[in-house]
Amino acid sequence: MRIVVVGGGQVGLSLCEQLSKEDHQITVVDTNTADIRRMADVLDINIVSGNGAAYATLQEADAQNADLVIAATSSDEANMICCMLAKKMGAQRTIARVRNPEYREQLILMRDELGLSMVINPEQTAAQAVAHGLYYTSASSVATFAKGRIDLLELRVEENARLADKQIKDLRCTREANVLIAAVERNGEVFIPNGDFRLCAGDRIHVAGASSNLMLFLRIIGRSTRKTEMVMLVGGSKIAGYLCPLLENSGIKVKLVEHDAAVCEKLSAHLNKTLVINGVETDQELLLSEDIESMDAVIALTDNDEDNLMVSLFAVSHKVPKVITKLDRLSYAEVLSSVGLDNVFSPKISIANAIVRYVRSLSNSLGSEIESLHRIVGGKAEIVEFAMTNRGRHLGIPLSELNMKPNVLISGIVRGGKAIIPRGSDKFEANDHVLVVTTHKRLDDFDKIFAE
Amino acid sequence: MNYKLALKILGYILLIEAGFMLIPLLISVFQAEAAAVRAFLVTIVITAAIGLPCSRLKPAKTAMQAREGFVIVGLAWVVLSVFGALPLYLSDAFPTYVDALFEIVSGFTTTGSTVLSEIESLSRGVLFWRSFSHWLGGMGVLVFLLSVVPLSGESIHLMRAESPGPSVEKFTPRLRTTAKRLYFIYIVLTLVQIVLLCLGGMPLFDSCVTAFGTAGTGGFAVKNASIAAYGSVYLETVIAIFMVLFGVNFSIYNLILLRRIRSVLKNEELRVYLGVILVAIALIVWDTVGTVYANFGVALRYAGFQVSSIITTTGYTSANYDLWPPLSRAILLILMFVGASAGSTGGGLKISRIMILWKAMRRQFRSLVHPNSISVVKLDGERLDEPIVQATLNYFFVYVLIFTVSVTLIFVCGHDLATSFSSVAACLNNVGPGMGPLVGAVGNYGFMGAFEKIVLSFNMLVGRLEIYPMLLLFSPSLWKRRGKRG
Repeated sequence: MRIVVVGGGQVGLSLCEQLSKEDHQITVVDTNTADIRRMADVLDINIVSGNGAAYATLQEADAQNADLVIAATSSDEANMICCMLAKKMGAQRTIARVRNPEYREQLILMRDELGLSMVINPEQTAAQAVAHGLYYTSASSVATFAKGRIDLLELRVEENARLADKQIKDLRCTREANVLIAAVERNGEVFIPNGDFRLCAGDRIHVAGASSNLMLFLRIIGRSTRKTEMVMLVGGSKIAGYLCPLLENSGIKVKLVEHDAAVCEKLSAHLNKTLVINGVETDQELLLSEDIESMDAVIALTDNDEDNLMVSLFAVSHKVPKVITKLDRLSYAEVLSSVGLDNVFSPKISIANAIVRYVRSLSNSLGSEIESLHRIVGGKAEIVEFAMTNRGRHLGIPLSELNMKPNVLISGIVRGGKAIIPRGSDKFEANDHVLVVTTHKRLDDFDKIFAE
Repeated sequence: MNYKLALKILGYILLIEAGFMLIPLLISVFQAEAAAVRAFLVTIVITAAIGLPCSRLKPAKTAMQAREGFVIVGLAWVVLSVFGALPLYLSDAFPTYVDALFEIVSGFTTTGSTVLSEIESLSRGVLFWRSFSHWLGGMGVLVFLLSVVPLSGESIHLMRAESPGPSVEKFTPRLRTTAKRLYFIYIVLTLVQIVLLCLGGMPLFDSCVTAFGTAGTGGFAVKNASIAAYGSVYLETVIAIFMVLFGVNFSIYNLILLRRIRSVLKNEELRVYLGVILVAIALIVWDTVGTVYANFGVALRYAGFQVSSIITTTGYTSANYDLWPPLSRAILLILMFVGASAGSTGGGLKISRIMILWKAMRRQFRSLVHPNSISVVKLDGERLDEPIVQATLNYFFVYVLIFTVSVTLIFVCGHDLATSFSSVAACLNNVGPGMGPLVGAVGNYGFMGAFEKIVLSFNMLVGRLEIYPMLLLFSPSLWKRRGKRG
């Protein structure tokens, strides 16, 4: 597909990285020539320097013939103008990044009016993901599939834990709880395990299952399953604005620390139960006096990566069970887990994932549709959710008789609202949602998981 | 340095070379040229035997930095020449291996300097290979590789290092489609020329070989007397026009394919290029009418052909320009240095570089007169980034430096100054024939010693690859392994 990405910031960069690997023809537009030139050095993309909301620039980028125009500059207004213009010029589809909550209400109107195919809001998406992750206090990252019917937890295998040094087929806990170990990460590499795979202490495992079963699993292996009751948000950024109401609604007590008094006032006007505290986020005395030690979770959300790291490390050192860190630059994520920071997320990267999923579902065939896509370990493995239609070629055959490619694992089937952890005798049926874990890249069609 | 990656790409290059050698092999088989058949067979076997295992390597890291781009391109051309010279040497057409190497380097770099005075007796296969190397070297063998093998996005560094001009333009988001489109334009133009030459009564073999020489702006001909041997106004006109066409930046043709004619007309380099050609022709016609040539028509015929041939650094000759008056010869000498457009198959300094140098000089004058003035260098109405201007100034310095050192080296070998000067000028700018009785229009480089031939071969590679890929091969810091594990 011919894709024009307007805006060469973090979102633009990670979009280009992923989309150009998937063989799309990308043109990136930005006013900052030096930035995009550096991108063109490492990625197979074309660059156009100029204002992406201007006709001449879009024309130079050949937006009139593009299949998709993605406007991801830092300015909502510029993004909207850009999409409107591109649509008028003849682009097939447009995606705009709109972040300002004030525009949220009118987005429904605008979507049709501006001809937007999709509106992305990284902060809102991230807030939803964080809120969902708080459900499991003792697991690090959580992804949801099939409208929340299957969750994917990330856990570290501790020394002397029940899981360590055992082959997967010998594990009783997974069978009892009816969950499945979908992927194992060891020294930066990803394995899709079969029954003979032996787990080691220090591995990070990704476990799939229905949420109640996952809770059972956590209990069996001796992890805490208590409910999150008190959360401290450090930093009143846009994500906090989206996150607080979500947490309030699920009955969690929220404390929010923010240094800017004006922001605090705005937040407290907009929120009902949240306790808004005005103070410097990195002030340890303040955090201690606000009882950071007794929190179930601390979420560092300031706009400054370094502050977030310091606050998170401080929380970890005070034995907070769950510490979530927002980082805009994810380049150091691999180092961070060694100092105890397991829950790192970047709204900009996750939104790029959402767009990649959209693009992939545009280019896939009729037999199946991609519902969601989740990447783990910096994209080394993917979990793809396919919605089966009744045209699939592999319906009604037991899984044990299907010849699948290596490094592909069917990690879950959702049928009629119920999650099934598949065994060899299970079969695919029409309208199933199937979760596939794989290290193969660019899986855009369900049929591609089978060996020829 | 990522040695495995470099070896892998060199392996691909050798396989491509072996593949292309099948064509002259077939020609020799049909012509029953026993020596040439044996020479090509042996070379193909050796080249493929070395290339195949190399291309199978699986480098752990495929990331490529600018330095890998330079080194791979530099090495690729050296390797290409070393193996490409084998059939010339093994078929006994050339007395020594150094002669064969000089000849094939001259071929791949599209120079067109030869060491032979008698070429008509060469076997057809060898003649074809010699000229085909022009065609392959013109657009670039790595660009060809990029169009057939999918490599990572960083391979833009390969294209940058191989393509001529101050900055390289991708016309499509994908490197591979850009490379394919370049070759598409190249092949179509070459085929059109072959057809036009055939229509003018040139034999098919001669047409192909002449078109290869024109397309790569090389200049190896089939006849000892080059194009003059045919004595046809029609053929000379066709060749002259196509030489000019191949000296145009190929992105212009892409714009024409996209029907963006207005951008074509606005292109400053194209206008200057055509302007320089017209002015040079006019001056030479004015200078030669009545002195060398009897009338305007004859003068225009030879001046037009020779100007096109020299500015595009092709080096075909239709007249012995060494007999022209001094002004005309001086103009040709200047044109050798000016060269063709950036992004074309031609050599020399390139029109756009001269334009940037000129504008930078004017800016320097202005800032001397008005110390507080601020001005940017513009090309095609758009601001040129300062690093490109700096790089161009730097390029010019290194170019002059290499030129001076080379002239000195040739001179101390006992050749006269005019010969030393013009042979280096002709080789460094990839023109081919130089000036003067020895290396001029009717001369050749056969009389030079092995050392001079190697110096000139190096000059040709430096000229074709625009200095840095070749010079960086001698930089020790480039060869160091990065990090502990390399």
